[in-house]
Amino acid sequence: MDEQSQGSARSWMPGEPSPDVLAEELALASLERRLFDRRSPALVLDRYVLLEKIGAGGLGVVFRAYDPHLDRRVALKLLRLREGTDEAEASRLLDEARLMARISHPNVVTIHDVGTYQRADLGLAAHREQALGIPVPGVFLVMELMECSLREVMRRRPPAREIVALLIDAARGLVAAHERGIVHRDCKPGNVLIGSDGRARIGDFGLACGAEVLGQAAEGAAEGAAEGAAPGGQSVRAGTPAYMAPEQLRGSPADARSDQYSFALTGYVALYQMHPFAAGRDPSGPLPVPPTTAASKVPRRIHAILRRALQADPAARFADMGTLLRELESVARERTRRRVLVGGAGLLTAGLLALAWAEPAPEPCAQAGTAIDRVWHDDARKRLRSSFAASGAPFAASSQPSVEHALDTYALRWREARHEACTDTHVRRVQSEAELDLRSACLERRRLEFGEVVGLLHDADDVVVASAMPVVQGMGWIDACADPLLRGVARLPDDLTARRKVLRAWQQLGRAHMLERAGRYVEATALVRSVRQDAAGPADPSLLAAVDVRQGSIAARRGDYEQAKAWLLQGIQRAEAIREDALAVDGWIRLLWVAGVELQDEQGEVWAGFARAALDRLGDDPMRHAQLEHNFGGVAYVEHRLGDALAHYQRALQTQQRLLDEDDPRIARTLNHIANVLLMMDEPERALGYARRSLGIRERVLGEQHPQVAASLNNIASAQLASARGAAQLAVARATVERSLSITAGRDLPQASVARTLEQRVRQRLEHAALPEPEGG
Amino acid sequence: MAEELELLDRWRRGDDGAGNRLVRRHFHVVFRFLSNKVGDEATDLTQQTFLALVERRDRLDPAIGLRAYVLGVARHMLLRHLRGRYRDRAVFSPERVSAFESPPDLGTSPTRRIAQGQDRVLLDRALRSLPIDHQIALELHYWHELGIAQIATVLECSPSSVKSRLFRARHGLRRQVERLSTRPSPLLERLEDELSSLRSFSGG
Repeated sequence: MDEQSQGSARSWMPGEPSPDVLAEELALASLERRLFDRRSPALVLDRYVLLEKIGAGGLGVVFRAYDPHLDRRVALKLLRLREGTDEAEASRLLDEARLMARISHPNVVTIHDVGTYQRADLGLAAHREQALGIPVPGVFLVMELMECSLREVMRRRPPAREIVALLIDAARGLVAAHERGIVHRDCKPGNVLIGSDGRARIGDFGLACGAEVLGQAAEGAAEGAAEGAAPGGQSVRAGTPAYMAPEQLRGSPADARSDQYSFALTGYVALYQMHPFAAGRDPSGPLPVPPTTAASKVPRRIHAILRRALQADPAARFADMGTLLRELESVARERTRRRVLVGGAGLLTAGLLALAWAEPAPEPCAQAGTAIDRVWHDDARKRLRSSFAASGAPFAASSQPSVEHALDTYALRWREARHEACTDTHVRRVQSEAELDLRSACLERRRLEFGEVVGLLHDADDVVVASAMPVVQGMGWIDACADPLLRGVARLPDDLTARRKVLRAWQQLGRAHMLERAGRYVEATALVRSVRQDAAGPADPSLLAAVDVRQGSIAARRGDYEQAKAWLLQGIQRAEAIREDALAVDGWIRLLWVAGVELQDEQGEVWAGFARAALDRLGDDPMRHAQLEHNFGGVAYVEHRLGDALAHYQRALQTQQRLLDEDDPRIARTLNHIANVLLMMDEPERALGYARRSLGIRERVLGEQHPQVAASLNNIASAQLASARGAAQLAVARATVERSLSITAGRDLPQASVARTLEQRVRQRLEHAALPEPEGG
Repeated sequence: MAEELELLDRWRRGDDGAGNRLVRRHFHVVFRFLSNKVGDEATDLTQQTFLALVERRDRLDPAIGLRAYVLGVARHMLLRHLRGRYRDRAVFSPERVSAFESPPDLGTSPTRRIAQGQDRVLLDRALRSLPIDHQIALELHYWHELGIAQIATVLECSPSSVKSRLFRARHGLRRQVERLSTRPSPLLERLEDELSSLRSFSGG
């Protein structure tokens, strides 16, 4: 059979606890990569190297993966073919996926590659397949790697303007699909994906209509799933009931208008943070009036647009998504114009009055922002197009519009940011000249970096073309320049020669960052070294600190942790000396990982202390605080300081709940940890509540058969057992244990042995319980 | 044995193919040696072990063999790791502290604590509550079937001290099993058999 699986090191007796095979495979693969830069054959599918599992559910599994041909990271989705799928059906599914892949649009997640695979393609022994949770046979899809989804964005309750911008992006993607006759069928916040460039794309197209959607189909069945007819005539279940149009829920086939409904519902939930039909769910009834606090921030016209698209009768909605999109765009345009006018004229009166009064006043900032035109203009655009057209790299043609769109957007945002910076000082007079200098220097660094990217793309070889999107997405965050704490404290020298020199160095540092982003570490290292040499002498200390931190970051990516630690320490010292707080925090956080985790240098607590101090000084960065709190909780738990552990975990939980999706697995993990602590503290009733919440999330997100579900069940059973007073309550605990056992049966998981022990305990208690109550059978 | 030393030499001279053969040959032993003591951190510690193997320039005694040498390096990495997590470093000693109490990331969750009924789990847990060097001595003896001289190399002590450690380790294991059992366990009678039978699991 499989040679490797028969090796002496791999044999164990059936029924004995077996080692965690997945952990071993990944450990071996990662070791070989680090030592020999070799891709372990066990974890390659087609040409893609599986790096780490980033998601799993009823659909299948998603891995972060690496494409060695094009030297970029991708998302690799493995889908289970429906049971009994024959080859004809598999190839129909593939055709469908290829159709999706042909939609090339900046607002549709790019599918780079699709294919089917058999057991033999994986080169894995059967037990390893199971451990990895890879469905066989299956379909794989290679997609661009995204940062997050609208679900995550919603959690931090951004201003309505930001949500509307993302909705417009998503609507454009849907329009593009509808123009090609493709219906999405499953529009919801989790499928509006956002890249590191901040642009939203519609994702997970049509995946629901071909492949079996196991988890969702099961959920859907309970609530009345849609049994629709797919293009090929098969009966399929698709969509997420909570976001389905009423006609879809009744079982009619999904069409562009049901997409419109789901889109509007997505928008409603994202803007008002509530589901309009949550209670009772009567989608045919009138759209409820949103709570006034939330409603006051959302333009009334937006509400009207959503209300129309949410009509139960498809004929009463907009004629098509394109019409809806134009409505949204016109609201957004109007709002922007009003903001500029109000701000620009220094008047608080809105509308025409402001226009009338603003006319004669000269606009001191009219020219601010035009500097970006020197970098990104029509010629540059043409050169980019011809450079991509000349390239023989695969996907050059399909990625060109996305790249161009990303550059357009960045240029636009930069222009707005520069204009706003100017206005704050010269019109609104809320910012000093010195502050404007700092803000401008930050923006200037961004512009230089942008110029570097454009230049890189003009002379693009195939490799650059192929990695264009990651590079473009890696450009610096423009909004940080408006934040005094995040933008850095370096202003540009007054002397022109010195100024040019410093700017040139920042430019090269930006290029090094881009190269790091594209995975070209050797070139990146060489470039940073040369920046360092040039910067020696009477250099800009901010620059030197940034060089150190960048070099540390690159070294860490290459796995050279000792070197990384040295650079980071030096960078932190420099940053601290000149109060580049944001840079220092970046350094501390990386150092904590490199020194405390990778190197195990026995000073983890010291680094953690400094990281926290730096973060505290930086102010409000709640997500990082949450991570820190969570880890402190772990330390306290380990040291049996249970009260402390509880407090830390609770704080981490509060922040996570505020910022993350309510079903985020990280929340489930924290909840279960809290249950652990409470069990140790002999508070089973409280533990039970937390364990149940953890269970709920894991069941929804991971599926009911996931081992983590068993972990939550075990805690529930422990709590039930601890507080049980009679046979009836013990029976409840037994039922819980039995569920856990059924999940872990035949799988060698730590949860399994825990469940078996719990089962014994329950049995013992039941025997005891039976004795003193002879009459109470 | 000479062949493995040859592979190591070639690796140190830059022959990655030789290195990879060597790594594949010893990976599972090292990984399981570490993962039954530290859980999730085993991946990193395994990497550090093999990296240290290349970086160290010391000569190897062919009589000792590579497995004992590799496990000796792995033990070093393990102790460094445990020491780092142990609060009062002055107190840390591999002869006193168990893998279980010093980095209890694997073992302290309350539900795991209950896991005492099953013999296998019981034995596992009892082993883990021994002082680290006692646990290692037992594993090397029963699972890896290393001789006293080889165990002495791994533990960096004299052969006579290995014998006394093995004696105390067996004694300690018996006490732990008694302590952890909820009722008299038949395990005590066949402790030695049970230990030997676990060999296949640990990759020996």
